[in-house]
Amino acid sequence: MIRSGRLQTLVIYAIAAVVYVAIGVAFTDFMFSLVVAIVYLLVAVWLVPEGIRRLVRLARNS
Amino acid sequence: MSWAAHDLEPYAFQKHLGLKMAFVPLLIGSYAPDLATKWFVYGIHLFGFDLKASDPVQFHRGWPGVGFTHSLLFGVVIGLIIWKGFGSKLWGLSFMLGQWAHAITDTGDTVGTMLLFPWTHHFSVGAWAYAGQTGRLTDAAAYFSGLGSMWDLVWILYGLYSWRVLTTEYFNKIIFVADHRFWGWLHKYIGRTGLITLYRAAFFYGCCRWVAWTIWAHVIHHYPYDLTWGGPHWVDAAHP
Repeated sequence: MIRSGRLQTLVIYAIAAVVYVAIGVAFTDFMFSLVVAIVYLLVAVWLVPEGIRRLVRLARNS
Repeated sequence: MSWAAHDLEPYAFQKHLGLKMAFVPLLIGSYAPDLATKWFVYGIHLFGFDLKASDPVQFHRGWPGVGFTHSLLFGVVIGLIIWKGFGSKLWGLSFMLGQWAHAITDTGDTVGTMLLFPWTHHFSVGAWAYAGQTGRLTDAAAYFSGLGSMWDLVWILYGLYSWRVLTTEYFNKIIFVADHRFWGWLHKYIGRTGLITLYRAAFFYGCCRWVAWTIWAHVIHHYPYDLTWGGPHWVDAAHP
């Protein structure tokens, strides 16, 4: 069994991967840079989920 | 040349070497031979000027040219500079291993590499066509239609089989501990989640662009697969 924390991480990475592939197929320049990929990944799997978590927390507390 | 293999091989080495290697220099070494040269092989348009090597193959893999970056000696020299200049044997050795992996992997194409430079003989297995001279899009289409693409797939599957090296537990117990000076320093600026994301980035990049280029080449543009030795033969493969 996959632990729920791991499953959540896997789902976030899977969504990020699908979006990356879609952008890459549409705009191939996007796929030529590792730096772009790193920035994209940091935003997609760290900053965006963190922002959503904070918004949810704010909504619950208000 | 290879595409995703250089992103993925360091994770396979990491699985077997554990605390004996530092991941970041291993990855930098794996990228090093092409790091400052690939743009000139494909050419770029900058401020109204087209910059491109007059003979991309000679420039990329030959001598005269920067082909020595794909030799074992280059890894040894830069590794020694890192070791003696920056005082880190671990970083020096890790860089060397990554660079050697790149140089050996690129012997798979039809141009091959001058592995034993200053001896300028090209070691080439010739399994897939080198097509860098045709420009980056045709090169991508050719690479992802031949055995090079299958070689990348081997590393993707091995990486997925070795999925534990991508977990938070592995990062905390092995990656961070093996190179605590670097990761500890970076930890001051980004949290643990940021560190782990950075650690996984090259694997993500390698897998995603393999899928994306495959879709681009075969679903969008219908380039034919040619998995014969030295293929695809619909492109003019370069030779040394």
